[in-house]
Amino acid sequence: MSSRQQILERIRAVRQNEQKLPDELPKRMLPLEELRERFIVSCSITGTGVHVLSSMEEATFLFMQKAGSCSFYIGPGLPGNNSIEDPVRTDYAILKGEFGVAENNAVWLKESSMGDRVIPFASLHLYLLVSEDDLVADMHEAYHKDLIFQEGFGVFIAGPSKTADIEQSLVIGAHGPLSLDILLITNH
Amino acid sequence: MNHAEKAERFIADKQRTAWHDETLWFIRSKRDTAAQKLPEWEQLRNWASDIKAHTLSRLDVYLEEFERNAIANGIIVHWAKDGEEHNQIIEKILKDNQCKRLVKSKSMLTEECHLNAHLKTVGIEVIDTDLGERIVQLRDEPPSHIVLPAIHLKKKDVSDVFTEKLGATPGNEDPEYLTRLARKSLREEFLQSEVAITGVNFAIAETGGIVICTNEGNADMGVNNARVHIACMGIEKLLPKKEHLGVFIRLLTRSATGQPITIYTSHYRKPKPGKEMHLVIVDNGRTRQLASDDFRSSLKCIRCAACFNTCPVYRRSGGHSYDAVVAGPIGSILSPNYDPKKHADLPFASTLCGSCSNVCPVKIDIHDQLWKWRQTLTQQGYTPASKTLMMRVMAFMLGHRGAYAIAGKIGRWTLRQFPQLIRNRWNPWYRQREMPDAPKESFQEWFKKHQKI
Ligand code: SF4
Repeated sequence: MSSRQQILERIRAVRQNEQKLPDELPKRMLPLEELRERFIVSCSITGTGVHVLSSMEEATFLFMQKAGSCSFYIGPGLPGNNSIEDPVRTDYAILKGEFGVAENNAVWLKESSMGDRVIPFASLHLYLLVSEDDLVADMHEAYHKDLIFQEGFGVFIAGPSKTADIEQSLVIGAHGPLSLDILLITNH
Repeated sequence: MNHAEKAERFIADKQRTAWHDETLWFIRSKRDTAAQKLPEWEQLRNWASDIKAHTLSRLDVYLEEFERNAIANGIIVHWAKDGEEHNQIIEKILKDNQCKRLVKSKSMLTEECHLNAHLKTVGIEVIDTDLGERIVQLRDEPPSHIVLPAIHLKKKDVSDVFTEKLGATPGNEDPEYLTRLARKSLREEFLQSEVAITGVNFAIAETGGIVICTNEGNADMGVNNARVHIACMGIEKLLPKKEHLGVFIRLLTRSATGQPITIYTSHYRKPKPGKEMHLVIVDNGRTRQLASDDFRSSLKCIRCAACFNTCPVYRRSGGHSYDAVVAGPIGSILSPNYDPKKHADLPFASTLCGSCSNVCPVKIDIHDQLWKWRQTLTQQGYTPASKTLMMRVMAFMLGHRGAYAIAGKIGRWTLRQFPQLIRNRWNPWYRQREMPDAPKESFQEWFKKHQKI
């Protein structure tokens, strides 16, 4: 008997009565008001920079100013999308996020917006663009979106990489980016 | 050496013990603040507990559904009944890919299976990439905490080992300097590694995808640079649906460190075209735990370590004193299942105060299970003879009123005449405590006298 078969058999042999799954989970638990304000407060807690801008063009302009003469990458779906030879040696990258979560400032990034899966982690500085209209209240609402698990890879990013493994001192910039900035595009 | 003897070594350094104790308590209080901000906290815990209990009661069905979807996604699925098979499967994948050196992010399962040690015997080197795990790896010791692997160390210890192994400037103990140095050396490893191994935080049956949570970004740096990704998971990591993640992601880091979410919550569903993704699904004693009415619910654990941080015994004895892959209260329930003889002392390394059960996000009745293990292990004869004998004597005394009264009288008289019998350095109870004088009369005698008035 294969190990697969053995494991499944052992589980079946001790199968108990079915424990009830909770009734359908709510689509949202936190209020829908002031999402932008709450999102910005969350950013301040995780050490994420946040800039409220009025257009994508304004966002890429700001990004290009910051990047200066360093190597940069503008991701798919953004004005000025460029190609990149060596994704692991990018200094600055700007990518289009799908939506942001007010309770923890996590931004959902889908694979097709990354250019290469390694970019959001290898770039020294990361900029994520999110539209204010695409903010959700909490993780329940986030996980009700079809976007989650739609592609081969997707990630919530909620700050610059960090660690406190040396005597609990917080150090920003562990293995991923040294900084994260969110460019929040508002239509109002 | 048992837990108490190892703990004694740990607490010999008073300052370090105090720091360890206070730091973990601080993390516990950050957890409290985060939990108290959510009025729905208890509701979330109930859901999490129910979802896990349901999944365990239909684990075969969900494993098959998960496997079917994962295969359809292009993932290669392997099954391992124990640690040895897990290690052999990984060894084979590595040999097929002619891999001699690889990166691994935090995975308690690979620790449990002693993967690194096994691969070393066949000439393959594993580089741990979580900073805390890298530090303890360079020091050639196991992690002491499942979320904070190097919490038993001070920055001087890190500086010393980095000076020796990574060429750090001697005496520079700045955490930022040391972190950057590790970042530089590990980046080289990421770029060179053809294979990356990761653990799994959650596996979703309906999508055949997995979720990995980190703050450092090391898992994603490894996986997305490598050609081959091997993810290792215990059979208990499953959740039926992706919307269940809303509950668990909200609970996990709030319970662990007080953060609302980890920096990276990565969802891997398919390998990148042209690359390989393997999943190793491991039993290694879990089905035995599943069969036990008393201990089944320990499989609900999501490894947040809240029970470690709150435990008065863990905080003051350090993770290494448990001598188990998973230390702390939950480790004291899981470990005797693997090796009851070796770990028989662990369920006794607790005050049974119940704080662990109160903070556990999936509502495992941790302290009740510790108490049940005490009974089981004593019945099976795994506890030291002296402890078992004492329990028998106590059981007799407490069951026989006359014997109890006489023994009390003799005891009180003896202690009043010869107090040095207990006030001596051979009595472990006297070492850190003042012993009160023995009273003249028992409570019962006192009560009888005063009742008459
Ligand atoms: S037993 Fe509960 S509190 Fe302890 S690590 Fe597991 S989930 Fe966290």
